[in-house]
Amino acid sequence: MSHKSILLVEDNPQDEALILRALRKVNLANQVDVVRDGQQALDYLFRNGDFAHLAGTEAPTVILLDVNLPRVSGLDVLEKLRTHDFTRLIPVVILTSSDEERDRLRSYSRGANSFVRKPLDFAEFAETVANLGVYWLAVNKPAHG
Amino acid sequence: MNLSVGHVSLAVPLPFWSMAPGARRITRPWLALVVGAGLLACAEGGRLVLGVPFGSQNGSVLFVPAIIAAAFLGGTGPGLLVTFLTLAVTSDFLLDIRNATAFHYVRAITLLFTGLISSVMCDALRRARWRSEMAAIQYSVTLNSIGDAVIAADMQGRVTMMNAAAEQLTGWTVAEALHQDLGDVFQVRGEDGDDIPANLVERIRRNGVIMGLSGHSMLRTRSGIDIPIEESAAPIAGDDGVVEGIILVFRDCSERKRHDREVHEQAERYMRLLEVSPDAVLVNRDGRIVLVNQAALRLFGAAAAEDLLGKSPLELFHPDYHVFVSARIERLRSGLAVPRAEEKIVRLDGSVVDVDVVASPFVDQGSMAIHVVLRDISEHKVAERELRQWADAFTHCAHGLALSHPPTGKIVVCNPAFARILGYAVEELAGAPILSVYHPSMVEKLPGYLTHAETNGHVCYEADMVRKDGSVLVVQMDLVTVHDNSGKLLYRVATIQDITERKAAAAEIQRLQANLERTVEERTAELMAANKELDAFTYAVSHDLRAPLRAMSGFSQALLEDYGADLNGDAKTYLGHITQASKRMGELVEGLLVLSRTTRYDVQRTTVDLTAIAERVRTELEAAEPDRHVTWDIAGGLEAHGDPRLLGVLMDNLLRNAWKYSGQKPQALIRVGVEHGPNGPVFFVADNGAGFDMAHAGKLFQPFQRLHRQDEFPGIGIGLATVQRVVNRHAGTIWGEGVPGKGATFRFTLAPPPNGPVEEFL
Repeated sequence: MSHKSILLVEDNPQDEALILRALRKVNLANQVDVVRDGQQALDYLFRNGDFAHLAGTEAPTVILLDVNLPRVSGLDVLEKLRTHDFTRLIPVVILTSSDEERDRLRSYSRGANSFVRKPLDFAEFAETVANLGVYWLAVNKPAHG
Repeated sequence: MNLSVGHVSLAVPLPFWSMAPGARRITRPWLALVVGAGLLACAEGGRLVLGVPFGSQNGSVLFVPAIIAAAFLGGTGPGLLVTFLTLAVTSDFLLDIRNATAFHYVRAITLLFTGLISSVMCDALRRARWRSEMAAIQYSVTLNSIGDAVIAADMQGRVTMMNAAAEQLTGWTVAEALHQDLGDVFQVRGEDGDDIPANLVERIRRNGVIMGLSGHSMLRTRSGIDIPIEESAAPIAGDDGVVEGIILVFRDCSERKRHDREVHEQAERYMRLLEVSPDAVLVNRDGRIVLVNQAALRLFGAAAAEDLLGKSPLELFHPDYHVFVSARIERLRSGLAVPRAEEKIVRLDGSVVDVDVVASPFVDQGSMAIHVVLRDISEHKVAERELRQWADAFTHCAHGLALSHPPTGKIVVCNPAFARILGYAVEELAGAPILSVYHPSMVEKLPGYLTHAETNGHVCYEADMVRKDGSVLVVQMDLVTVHDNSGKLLYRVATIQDITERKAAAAEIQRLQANLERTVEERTAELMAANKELDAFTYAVSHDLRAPLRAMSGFSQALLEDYGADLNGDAKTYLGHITQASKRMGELVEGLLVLSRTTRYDVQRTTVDLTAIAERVRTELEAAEPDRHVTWDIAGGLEAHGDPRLLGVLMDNLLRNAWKYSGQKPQALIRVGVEHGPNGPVFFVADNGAGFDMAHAGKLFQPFQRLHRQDEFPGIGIGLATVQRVVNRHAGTIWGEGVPGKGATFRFTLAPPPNGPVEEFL
């Protein structure tokens, strides 16, 4: 049985806490790895730098990716990982505050599987995140595995 | 002597007693006296020998020969003198007068009478002989001096006489020809070859009349040359009427024949010239047209010469010219010249034609006649008029025009404007090299322009020129080449326009434009920078401001959920305030975001179904608050021309307002419709809700300005500001009318759609 995991790329600690709380509520918190900028995300995904020790382990089942990230933007991360075999097929959910059409277009055109706006309302937010976790880890059938 | 022609042999020498014609006198008195006296002396001597005493009347008869000789030689006077001398020597009876008998007197008177008679008769005889001689001489001289040849022949056909002209023509001398056969000397044939004189003598004798021969005879001279002659023959009759011979008179007519031929040829030439003449020719003789040529028929539109012949010349001319033409005819008939003139003729069909007239007098058949030569100049007149019009256009044209002659490069002619532009007089430029008015800097470029003009027939360029005073100007040059039918280059026509000022103005405009462009560029750059900032700001608002809000609201909520049991009532209320405040701020941020989007988006116009939008919003609102009772009156088919997304925002805001502010009415009514305004449709959204006081209407569309308290109607005060932005971006107008407690109506217009399908490109 394969190990299912979520990679959360989020630079805002409050959002991170809220997201983790929401996932915890649906018992998915222990399957979440968190990185806080774009470069870290790339290192994690390609098993470089601080994450070289993960070499050989499975890729995450889904990536929750913020757009506004320090160092390397979320969209650049998306673009890069879509060009490598190892990461090409990983579902990516863009999770962002932005509701700009232009961001949506750019995300989808770079291969995002889903675009979810972080709701302001806490309850709504928690529900959305919980649903995302359950959907991608439990419902969705990945390409491999 | 018989003076009939037949007896005169004029060419034969005169008788021995005739003297040379120059020495002939009518009387010779001294010779007569000497001869008379001599014969008297001889007679007296003879009487003495016969024994008759001196003074006796016997033997008086011996003195008669002396009297006759004296009278014959000297006339009546010498005869009578000799008679009186005889009387003197035979009248001694007068000495003895008393013994004188009547017989003596009778004998003396008889002698006197005999002497008188003899003298008179002898004188008459002498005179007659002299006259005869003179006549013969005159006849001979005359015959020899006239140009006609004369040959006489007797009835046997023998030549009896011929004159010098006959000798010359026939080649026979008189001596040779005399007594020769007439047929040998006068070898003549008719043009048909008949030998006319074979029976000439006989024919003349028989007919007995003076007659001309064929009139086309040829005389063969003795040397065998044929000469055309004219001849006539006549019988010579004696006093008794008996024909004694014939006389032939003839002359060389080769000269006349040649003359006749020449005259004939000249006439022929004249007629031919007349017929080939392109100009109409009329001959006016005695006030009538007597001759016309083909060109005249054409000019007058006559079918035949008869249509014109016999007419008076005046009939052919236009009445305006009758006086003028009459005066000219008068002058011409006096043999005077008249100058060339332009007149008008009337054709037979009545149409009038301009003609150029030349006329000259000449003598025709003894009368003064006039040659009238007419040339149709109507086309010439038209051409002349057109030419004059063109000349006017050329002269008064405001553009400079000049014709130059390509081989020499000289100006042939130019108009006043051309000269004026270049500061010259027209006369100064005619013949001047065109290069002299070009600025030296143009010399290198010109061949290229000329080649271009040669190839394309036309070239336009700006040229630097030099005025007479040396100042430089810029002209717009328009050069056209003119070729003849064979393609040979005849002229170049240059049109120039002084564009110095225009150039300066254009340069100024360009400079200003460059400045303007630079300014625009700077402003645009500033604006773009500002937009970028705004963009970044909005983006930041949309992302970065929302995150803390979310944290505030989220953690408050988490606190309530996770530790609610440990919190007292106030703590929970405060946490509720934090949640509310962050939510409200979230809404503000959201509103700002929408507002800024209305400014940032490009307006992409198309036809928008407002009815459908209204229905959609209605559905959303009713779903959100299903307990409310609201009556909707949405007009069908509301179409606007605008950006669908922005108009969606507009309708959404207005309808949500209407929904919200009518929330306290038990029977709420929301109406959406259209009215006809002066500048197109006016859309409206009306409700019967809380309304507003018109005194505060000025604040309606300002962002964050509200006319109601938060506890009455929650809101952020940004909806109508957004609505106004949308209307502004559609070049429309929006205004609101409200009555507190009764409701509010918002009306708006949008710029009308441009006509036709152009809208799709806007």
